[in-house]
Amino acid sequence: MIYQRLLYSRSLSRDYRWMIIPPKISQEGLKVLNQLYNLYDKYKHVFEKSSVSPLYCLNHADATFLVSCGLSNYKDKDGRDIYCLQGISVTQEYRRHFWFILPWILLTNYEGEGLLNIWKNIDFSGADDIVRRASEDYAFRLDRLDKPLAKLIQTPGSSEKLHVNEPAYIPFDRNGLKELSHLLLSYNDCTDFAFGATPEIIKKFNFKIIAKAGPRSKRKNSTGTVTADITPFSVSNDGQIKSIDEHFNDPTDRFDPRKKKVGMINKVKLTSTKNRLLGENVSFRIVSQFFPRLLSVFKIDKILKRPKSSGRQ
Amino acid sequence: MKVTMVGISGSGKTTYMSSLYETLGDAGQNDAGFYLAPRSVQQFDKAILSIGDFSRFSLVNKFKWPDGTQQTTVWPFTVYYNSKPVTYFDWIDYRGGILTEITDAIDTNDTSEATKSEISDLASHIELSNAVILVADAFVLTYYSNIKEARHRSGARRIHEIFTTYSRVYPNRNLIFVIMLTKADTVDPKWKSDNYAPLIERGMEVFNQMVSLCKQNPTWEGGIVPVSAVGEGNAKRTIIPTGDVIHPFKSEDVIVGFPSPLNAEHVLFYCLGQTLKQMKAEAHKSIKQREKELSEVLKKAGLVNKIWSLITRKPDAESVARSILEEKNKDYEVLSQFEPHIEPLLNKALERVRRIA
Repeated sequence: MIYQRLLYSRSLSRDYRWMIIPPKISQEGLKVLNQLYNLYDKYKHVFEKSSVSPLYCLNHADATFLVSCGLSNYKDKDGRDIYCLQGISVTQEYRRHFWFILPWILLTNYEGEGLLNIWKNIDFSGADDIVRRASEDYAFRLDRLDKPLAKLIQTPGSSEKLHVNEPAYIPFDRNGLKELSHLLLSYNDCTDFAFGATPEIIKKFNFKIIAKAGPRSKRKNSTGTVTADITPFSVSNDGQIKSIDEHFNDPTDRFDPRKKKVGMINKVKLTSTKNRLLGENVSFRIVSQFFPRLLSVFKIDKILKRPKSSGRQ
Repeated sequence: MKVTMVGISGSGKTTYMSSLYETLGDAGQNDAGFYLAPRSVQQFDKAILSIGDFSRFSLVNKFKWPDGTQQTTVWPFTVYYNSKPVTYFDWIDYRGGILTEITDAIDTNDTSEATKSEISDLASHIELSNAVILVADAFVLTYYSNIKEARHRSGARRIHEIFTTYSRVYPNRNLIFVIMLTKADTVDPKWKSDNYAPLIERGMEVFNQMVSLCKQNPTWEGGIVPVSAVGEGNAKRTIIPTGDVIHPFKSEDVIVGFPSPLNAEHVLFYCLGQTLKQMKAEAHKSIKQREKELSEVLKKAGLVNKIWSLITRKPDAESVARSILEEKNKDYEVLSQFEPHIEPLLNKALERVRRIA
C-alpha cells in the first residue's frame, strides 16, 4: 500500500501552517483537516488528562486521511509547546488495502515512533523552511503485521451490536482503541471515526464510530448530549467571518462611524419619503407622480409600451 | 465596536487575554467598577459555559502561559459598570504569524489560498476596527541596541507598512491605536525607572512611523503603554543565545509568583473610552440633524399635506415627524447609556497610557 504524509504544525519561529502535504490533495481536503484541527485546538485542554491521543479517520473525495492531533516534542522560540496534526493520506486506489490493515496500524503504529509520527522524520532546526512541502510516496511494509490481529483486539465485552444508522460509541482509552479495531472489521470499507471527540467535533462531522473525550469518556453513551456552540468564534480557513451582527444588536452601532458608510445605501432607501418631504422640488414631484397617472387614464402608456411587432400581426 | 490586536507571533497577544481575564474577568477584580463578560443572549447554562471559555485563559489555574493563537478568533464581549452594560465590543485575537506571512505571500508563489484569504480578512478587520492594539515585546525592543534591528524583530516594521498603507488609502479616516509594550517586567531595570519612562521612549523610537503618522493625521488618537501579564517579579525569564543570526536567542518564561497584571485594563479602557468619545460626537451630530429634519418636516404639516399624502398614498409630514422623533429619542437613550462612562474610562486609562501627538 502506498501512502503520503501530512503535517500541520509550527516550527521554531514560523507560525502554524501546512508543512507537509500529499502532492495531489485539493484545497477542499486540506480545509476539512483544518476544520478538524481547529476544533481540536479549541478544546485541546479536554484531552490533556487522557492516557491516549486523539485519532481521526476521514474519507474525502481525494483520499482517506488517518490523522492524530496533539503535542509534538518541541517548543517554539518563546518556549511555547508546539502542537500538530499529523498522519497519513491514502488515495482511493489503495483504500481497500488501507481498510484491511487499518486495525493493525491503530494498534501498532498509533503512538510514539509509529507511522503517524511525521515530526520524527524532520530536522527541527531547519523546519522553518518547510512550507507545504509535497510528501513523497511511502510503502507500508506488510511484514510489520507480525502479531495476529485477533490477539491484538482482544478486549472484554467488546462484542456489541452495531446500529446501522446511529454512530457506535466506544470509550476513549486503550480498551477503546482495541474496540475500535474490532468495530472497524464490522464495516466493509473505511469508515469515518473519531477516537477522541468533543461535542463540537461530533456535531461538525459525520463520524460512524465515536470515542468521546472528557471526564465521562469511559462510559459508553449512545444518546450523545451535544453541547451548543459557545461564545467565541473563529475566522474559518475559507475566509468566512461570521459577523457578530448576526447574533447581537449593538445599540451603539447607530453612532459607529465605521458602520455608517455601509449603512448609507440602506439609509438612502429608507429615508426617501423623508427626503421628499424635506427638500425635493415640488413641481418635479407633481410631474413625476401625476404624469404616469395621467397617461394611464388615457391608456397612452400602454400604447407607448406596446411592441411594434405586435401591431403588424 | 471592534478592537483588533496586531502583532507578530509570540508578541503576547493571547497572554494579554489572560491579563484581561485576571483584571476585568469578574466584577470584584478592579476598583474602577468595570468588568468584562463574554456576550451571550443564550440561557443561563450556556452563558455560564461562555464564562468558562473566557476563564480558560486564567493564569492562576495552572500557573502556565496560554498557548499561542493558531486560529484567528473573534471574542464578543460586553463591558459592564456595576452590573449594567456600558457597551459591547468584538475583540479580535489574530494569529500572529499572519503578519509575517503578508510579505511571505509576495515572496513565494506557494502561499495557500487560505493564507491569502486570512491576510485579506486581517485587512478587513483593521478597516472595520474602531481601535487597534499594536502589540510588541518590550524585551525584544530593548534587547537589540540597533534600532532598525529592534524594529524588524519586534514586528514594528510590518505594522508600519500596514498603517502607512492605511493612511494612504484612507487619508481622512479616524483611527484609535495603542502601542502595547508587553512583557515589561522582563526588561532590564534601567528601562523601568520613572514608571517605565525610558521603555516608553524606546517604544516611541521603534514605532517612529506610527508616531509620525499620528502627528500628521489630526483624526488619529494614539497612545503607548507598558504592560505585563504577571507583574513585577512574578515570572522568571531564561535567555539562551543561539549564535544563529536568524534567531539570536530562545527564551523561556516561568510563572513563579501569583500573577498581578500591570496596566492591562488601561489599554482596553483607552480603546473603549476614545471610541465612545467619537461615538458621542456622532450622536450629537445625529441628534442635531434629526432636529433640523424635524423642524423642516413640521413646517409642511397641515391639512393640505394630509390630503396630498392621501392622494399620493405616502406618509404625511406628521407621521414622518413622529418617526424622526422616535429615532431622536433612541439616540438620546443610547447616548445616555454610555456617555457617563467616557470620562471615567479615559481618566483611568490616561493614568498609565501616554498619549502620542
